[in-house]
Amino acid sequence: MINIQKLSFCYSKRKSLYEDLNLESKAGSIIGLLGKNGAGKSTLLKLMAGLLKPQNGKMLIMDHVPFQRKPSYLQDVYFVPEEFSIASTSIKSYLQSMAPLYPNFDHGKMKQVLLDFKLEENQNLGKMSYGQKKKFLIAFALSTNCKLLLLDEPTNGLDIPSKALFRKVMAGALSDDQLVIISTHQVKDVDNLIDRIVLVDDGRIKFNKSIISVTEKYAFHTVSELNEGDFLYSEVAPGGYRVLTSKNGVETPLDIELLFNALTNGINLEIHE
Amino acid sequence: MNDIFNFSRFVKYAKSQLLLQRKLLLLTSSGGFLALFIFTLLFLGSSFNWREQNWTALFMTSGFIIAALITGNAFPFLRNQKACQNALMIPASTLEKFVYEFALKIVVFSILYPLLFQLMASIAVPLIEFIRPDRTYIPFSFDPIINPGEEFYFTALLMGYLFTISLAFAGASAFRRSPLIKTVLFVGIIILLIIGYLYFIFEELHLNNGVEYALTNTFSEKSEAFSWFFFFLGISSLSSFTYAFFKLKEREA
Repeated sequence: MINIQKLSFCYSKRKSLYEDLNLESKAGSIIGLLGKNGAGKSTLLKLMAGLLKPQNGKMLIMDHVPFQRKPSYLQDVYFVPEEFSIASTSIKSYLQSMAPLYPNFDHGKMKQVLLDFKLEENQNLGKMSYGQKKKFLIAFALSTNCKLLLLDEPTNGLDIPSKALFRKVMAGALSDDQLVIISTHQVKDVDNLIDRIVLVDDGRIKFNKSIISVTEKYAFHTVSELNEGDFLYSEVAPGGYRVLTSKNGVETPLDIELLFNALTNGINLEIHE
Repeated sequence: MNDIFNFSRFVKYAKSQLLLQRKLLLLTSSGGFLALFIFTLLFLGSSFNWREQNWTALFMTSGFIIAALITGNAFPFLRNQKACQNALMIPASTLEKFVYEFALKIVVFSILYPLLFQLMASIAVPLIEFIRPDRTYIPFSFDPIINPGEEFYFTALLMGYLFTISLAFAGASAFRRSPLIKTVLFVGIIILLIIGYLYFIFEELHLNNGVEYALTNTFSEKSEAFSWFFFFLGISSLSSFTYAFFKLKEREA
């Protein structure tokens, strides 16, 4: 579905954000696009959405060049930006005006997700809080049934119950022919939701592996004392240390934050998929 | 799928935009009508001898100003990065988005303005005659504008109008902030350069013998001079609209 080869992009001529970036992805997964602040996660999503034009390289998504912004492409891509503006009208009126532009829009799904998010059709979007607006946009994005959903920091502004609800709604509203890319620096929010991690660092894709392949080879523990040589990466945690080790038969859940910290601190994990 | 222009998709897009902007459109058009009505009343009230030419001048001046303001603020989503992202992501082609703005800001306005002006004038005249019973006012008529008696006058008016709005439209797509002011400045500089350039040409054509002499030596007939002038305006307008389209197509958010 996504085929990016040797992509270069810069905002100013002095410093390039991406150089020779490569990424390939198939439909049927939820990708967590992780990276430090300023790593270019949002930029990558905007490039995929066709909002920015790459300087060099090849970028094909669903056999389309995103920046051409052809309607046949835009009907299958929905981008929820971190910062957004939304018309000051009722949800019902917004749906009446915008839903017909998406041929696969599912009104039943919209009603269900609105119900899950505790939003009502007669509520005015202009009078909603930032978090409520974000929930509405996520509901709308899911209901478009677009093949590619790009969510930039979707959990920013959501309260704790809403974050849990977000994970539940996302997990239940997607089909196998869809690909979701969630960019976030709040890695815990997408725990148990994503099935692949893509880490952007220094203008390149530093890590692009499935969660299963990581947990098949590595384990994540909390220990009270550190034994030299037993771990690949460690960091101080309440009551001891969190450590990343090679798996020795023990199945542990993925500690996505620990994995992220290990990778951004230069730990090289060898995983063959 | 036709990715360039699909009529049914265009209708869906236009409906969606009209639904979302209906309050704003109604408010601005009624506000504009009211402002024009008040200005007309003030002009009528301060004039002792309101003639046909006054109506023509008022119709044209206000028409040009309002048209420049409306077209100069076309593509309102380009003024704001967040709104720009939304607009660019709507599943409609660039041409469909362009045609919608063109139709709403130029075609609809050009049809509605004369009708609303006529309506406004037909309310203003009886009202001012009621307020100032000592004076009489000639009612507004399109006749002196359409049949001015002067050759090329109406064509020149239309071409000038088209030229103005095409420039304002192109400026609206090119500049993110204060597009109308920047367009006026930009066009002012270009015109100064052209005038400067023409000055040198006319100097070669012995301008010191007078502009009349230079013109009659360059163009054998008046109609030829006007044809060249209209041709220049037509080409410039077409270029401005094309420029506006490509600016929209290449827009990044």
